[in-house]
Amino acid sequence: MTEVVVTGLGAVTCHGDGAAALWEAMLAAAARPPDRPRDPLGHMDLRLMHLVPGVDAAERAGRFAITAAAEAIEDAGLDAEPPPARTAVVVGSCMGEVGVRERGRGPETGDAWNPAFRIAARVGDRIGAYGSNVSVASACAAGGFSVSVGADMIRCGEADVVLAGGSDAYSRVALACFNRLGSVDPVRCRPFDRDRRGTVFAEGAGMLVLESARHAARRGARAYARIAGIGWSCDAYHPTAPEPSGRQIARAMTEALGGDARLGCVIPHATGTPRGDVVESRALSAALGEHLAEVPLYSLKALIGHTGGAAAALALCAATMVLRHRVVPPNVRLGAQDPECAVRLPQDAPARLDRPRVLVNGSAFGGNNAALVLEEAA
Amino acid sequence: MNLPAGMLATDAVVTGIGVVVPPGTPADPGRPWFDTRARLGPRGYKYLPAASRYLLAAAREAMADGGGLDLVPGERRAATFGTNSGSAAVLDGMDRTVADGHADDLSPAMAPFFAINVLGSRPCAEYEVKGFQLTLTSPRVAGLEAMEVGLRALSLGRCSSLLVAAMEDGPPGPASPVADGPALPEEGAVAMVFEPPAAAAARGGRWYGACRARTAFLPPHLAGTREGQDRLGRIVTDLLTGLGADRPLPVHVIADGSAVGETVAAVLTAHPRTGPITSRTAAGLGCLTPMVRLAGLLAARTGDRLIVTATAEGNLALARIFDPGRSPC
Repeated sequence: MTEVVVTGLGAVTCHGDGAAALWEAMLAAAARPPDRPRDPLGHMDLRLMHLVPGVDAAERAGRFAITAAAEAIEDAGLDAEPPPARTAVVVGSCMGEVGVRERGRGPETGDAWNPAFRIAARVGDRIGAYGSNVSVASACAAGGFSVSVGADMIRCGEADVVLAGGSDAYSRVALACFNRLGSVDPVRCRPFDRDRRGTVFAEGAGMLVLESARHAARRGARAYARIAGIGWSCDAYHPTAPEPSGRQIARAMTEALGGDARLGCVIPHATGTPRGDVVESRALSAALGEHLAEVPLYSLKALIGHTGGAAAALALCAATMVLRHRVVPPNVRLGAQDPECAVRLPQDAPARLDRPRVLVNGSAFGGNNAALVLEEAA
Repeated sequence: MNLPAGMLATDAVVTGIGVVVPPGTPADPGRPWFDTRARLGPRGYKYLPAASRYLLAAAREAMADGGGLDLVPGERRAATFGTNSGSAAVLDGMDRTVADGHADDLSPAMAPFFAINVLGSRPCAEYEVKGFQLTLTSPRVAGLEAMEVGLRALSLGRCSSLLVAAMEDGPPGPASPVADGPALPEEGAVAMVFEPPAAAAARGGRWYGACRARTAFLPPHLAGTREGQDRLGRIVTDLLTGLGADRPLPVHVIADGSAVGETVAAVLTAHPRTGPITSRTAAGLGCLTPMVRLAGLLAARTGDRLIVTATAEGNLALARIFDPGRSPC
């Protein structure tokens, strides 16, 4: 089967623009307190979210995606010419460009139809890509599914280059619903912490340039990583709650691992919801078995918040940088680890990556699960 | 098993179709037409958005029509859904509630539906779809996009049977005028069950035909340029090759009157590997119309056809219907 490699990265988070800014924040391991979005009609008790600094526009998600896409293209060395003929774009998002549809947040669009999920189209128009242009809206797993779909396109010979990732921005409705569900942590995003009380959403975008290994080699591009495995599953259980046994989450991981449960690092989904972190811990135990005790987890959301449809894409960007630098950054310090979450979370200092192989998980409302394994490229 | 020309053993066939749309065309927004109790049952649907109800009803119809989604283990069943405005009315109502009142006034039962993929949660639970569920949302092409992504996954072995559906409810507010006349909000759902032909044949199932879909993009800012048209011509050739369309086939166009739509129609008309445009339908405000057209042509067993849709946002999709061949459909 055609090998798929990662040749470019782009990231936008609350720590600023650029994958380098993200990596710097990962090494510093200092969590920021959540912001309070300026939204006079956002009537809710915990209007807390990590915002991308310096952007004052309603159409934020598209802007983040374009910024991250431009960085990824430049990083891949594809910015000098129009993109290759068979270049596709796949963008995952939970809410799309919903800001302009929420009352008082953007220009009135009158009678014009204004589909929310047009972020991929904006990216495709900006870079002039004629290949498939796909919008994946699998909520908080959308970024993982979008990169998977992009890899599948290359594996099936339908594209040579795919710009894949995810983007999400502040949505009054989404945050209000999480408030109503009692799932917002009033302090910060604290995955695996004994005192965690929910998640804290965040804005952001992560984009990766995927290529067939042959295409990358032909143009002399260096590959940061290869996609070694992909696993998908669906709980078929409940609109919001994960299936308690975590069987389907574990199945997605097992499929992605492809029979080899030895890893150098795991970047879990881990949002900070009390039940979700426990279920994922159990699923990790089922999928990794005895190897779970050895492998360090890097809990990205503790650092950047939960970026929704961008979360797994940003986790894949982070995983690629872990492979590239051969370093596992320290986790943001926990108060006290939940004993029900029996996972290893190094917090003191960066550690050497023992094995160049990283698992990334993404899960979502609706029980949609995607897992990917990245390995060091040959 | 003899397969029709151009069709491969890896192409999946449609074994069940469900179409749940308002009677008559065009739709009359706001007119009651869907009886939840009659369609779904007396209890358990109060806190399910309209689009989710339509989807569930269409999925049940497709299963009752012979779709063999549940004839493989749950972990081999998958679903891909397309929608643009399936949750638009729900989100608009929630936004009003928060803006005029407080988040505490939201219904906790409806709150999960802020995420559009949750519209598909109920049918997946009902049919124990544990392989995967994916929700695709590109403007107007999302239904065909769901078909493309789902069938690609099926061909890669990620599942053994596949439910593909599109559902819409809205959007709220007035219709948007386009060049071909007013584009109307869409309501309803279309569902199709896909299975490998060998599996369908082994259980004595019948099928309507096979389908393939391919999507591409015409950057809107290049739609009127020579460069855009030249590149699009080459892209269309690639798409037709991917669809196995090696001879001219009749073309059905669903257009929104945009520059992108007109450019795509013009390129197709001039392309040596496409046949005449046999019908042209105004696009609605969503992704349902191409799927309704596709389902109608499959059910009518019209044989080889191409369906094309393209949008102002730049998305375009082509779907190929293969003749049912020897299926006793």
